[in-house]
Amino acid sequence: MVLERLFLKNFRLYRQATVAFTPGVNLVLGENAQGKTSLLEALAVLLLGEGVPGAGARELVHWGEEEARLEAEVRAAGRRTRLRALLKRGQGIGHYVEEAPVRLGEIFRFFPLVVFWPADGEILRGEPQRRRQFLDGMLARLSRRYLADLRRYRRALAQRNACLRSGRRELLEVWEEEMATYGGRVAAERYAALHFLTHKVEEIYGALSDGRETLILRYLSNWSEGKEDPTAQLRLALRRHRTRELRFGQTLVGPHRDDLGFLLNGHDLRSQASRGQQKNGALALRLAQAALVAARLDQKPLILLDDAFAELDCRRREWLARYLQEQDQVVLTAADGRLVPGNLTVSRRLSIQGGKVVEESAG
Amino acid sequence: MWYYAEPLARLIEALHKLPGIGPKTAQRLAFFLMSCPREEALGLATAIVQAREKIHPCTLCANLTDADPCQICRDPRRDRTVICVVEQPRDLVAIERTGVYRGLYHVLHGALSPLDGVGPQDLKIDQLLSRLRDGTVKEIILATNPNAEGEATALYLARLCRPLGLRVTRPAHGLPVGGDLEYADEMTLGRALSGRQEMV
Ligand SMILES: [Zn+2]
Repeated sequence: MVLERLFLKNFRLYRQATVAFTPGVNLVLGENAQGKTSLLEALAVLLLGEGVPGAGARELVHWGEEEARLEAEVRAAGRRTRLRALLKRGQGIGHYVEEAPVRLGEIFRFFPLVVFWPADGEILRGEPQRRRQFLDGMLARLSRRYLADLRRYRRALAQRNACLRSGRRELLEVWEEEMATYGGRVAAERYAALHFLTHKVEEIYGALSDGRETLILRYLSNWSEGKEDPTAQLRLALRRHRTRELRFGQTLVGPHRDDLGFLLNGHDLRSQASRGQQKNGALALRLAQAALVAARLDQKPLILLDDAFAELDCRRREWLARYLQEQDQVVLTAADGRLVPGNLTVSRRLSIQGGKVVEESAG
Repeated sequence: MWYYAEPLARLIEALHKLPGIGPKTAQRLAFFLMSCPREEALGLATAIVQAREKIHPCTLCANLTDADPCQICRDPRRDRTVICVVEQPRDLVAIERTGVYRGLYHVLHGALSPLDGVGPQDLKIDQLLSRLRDGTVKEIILATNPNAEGEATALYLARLCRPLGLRVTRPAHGLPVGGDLEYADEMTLGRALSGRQEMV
């Protein structure tokens, strides 16, 4: 599955542009604020339904315009398919395959994508909610069932919280049963994904640091001790906490409070790591995510990397170049062409200036 | 709404309160009622008045009826040892359409939802329990919707009914996830009912 062409209209600073891509590594060069990040963002909006984290979704549509349009042509088994997104100012984003409106998850499972943003260090150092969003977003895209289970769990949680607030102790049990069933499934899925991600993150971060550092990922939960029968564990934990939670008026245990822990050389990354280490950790996490997507969907995702070479030293850049070479298709940006390591075989090179492609060349 | 004559404005407002009727549809319906033959419009008004005057919940099963007890509760061919509990009168209609069920019903008129302030006292649960007392009923089928509120309600009722020594069952899965009984097709619903399972 290959992305062949992207068309943008009225997206951020782009008035209208068509960009061609090839299999292998596509390199997008350009000074800052010229539109190279927006190019990746266009693909993220089209395939994931979300832009750069924290970059103001309201300005996705070009200033003074009412509507933006994104179109990608992808090729699979000799057939071309057109994926589209329509963005109306002040409204949501509509997604289409050919002319038919589709759910976002269907686009993702048809043409998966994983993106690394420089701000992704926030996943590792930010609030627990940020990490749950990462985990839930990833798993919900991979499986409709996960999304359904998560929604059902949240509904039961809201109902139980309403019982706690009104002090209806006798009604707690039936909602706990519902929470245990669906929360148990959510936790089981997370544990399974974590099992995979942990190994991959450790492997990738190890390679990124020349074997000198270790990054261990762990699922942190205040109600479960491991992945055995999470439904039974959650049922028990909810029952145990009733009295305390009636005082607080909310549910304090369960998958909605769980977190991911990152141990850098045995210490909590949040308090210990430098910004560079956090960024490398995020890069390892994204590459591990790409491997998980490939394993689950039996198809390697398109990988976008925004400014990933900055802050990496020479050996790390070379390792990353080798890793990317093994992927089916990658689009990466760089502000400075000198940061691109010599061992990276680029199949297509683009220069971006002022929201226009000013130069294109093969290799 | 100064641009409508006052009685017309009131009609539009009343129609707008109906489920699924937006402001534009309400306006269209109102203009239609003003332009259609007079008898048709008044016929609708009379139908509403008569239905409201004559229809009330059955004192046994709480289904909507114009006679008390309702037709189903009075029917001597019905199996009096089974009661099928549903959330809404429309769910009862969906099950009747399948033609596979010959027992009695009980309509709760809702499901437990603390978020909306709906507790056991707001459902026809006491009325249900009093029907179970004389020992005629041997099985209770909890056919509440397969969504969070329906499941919780079924579980709540199962906890109340089990100590009475009844067989407590729930329609087999295979109903659309999160869907309502109302929307399940007759085949699926019929299969779910005949393949019902004991609740544990
Ligand atoms: Zn009746």
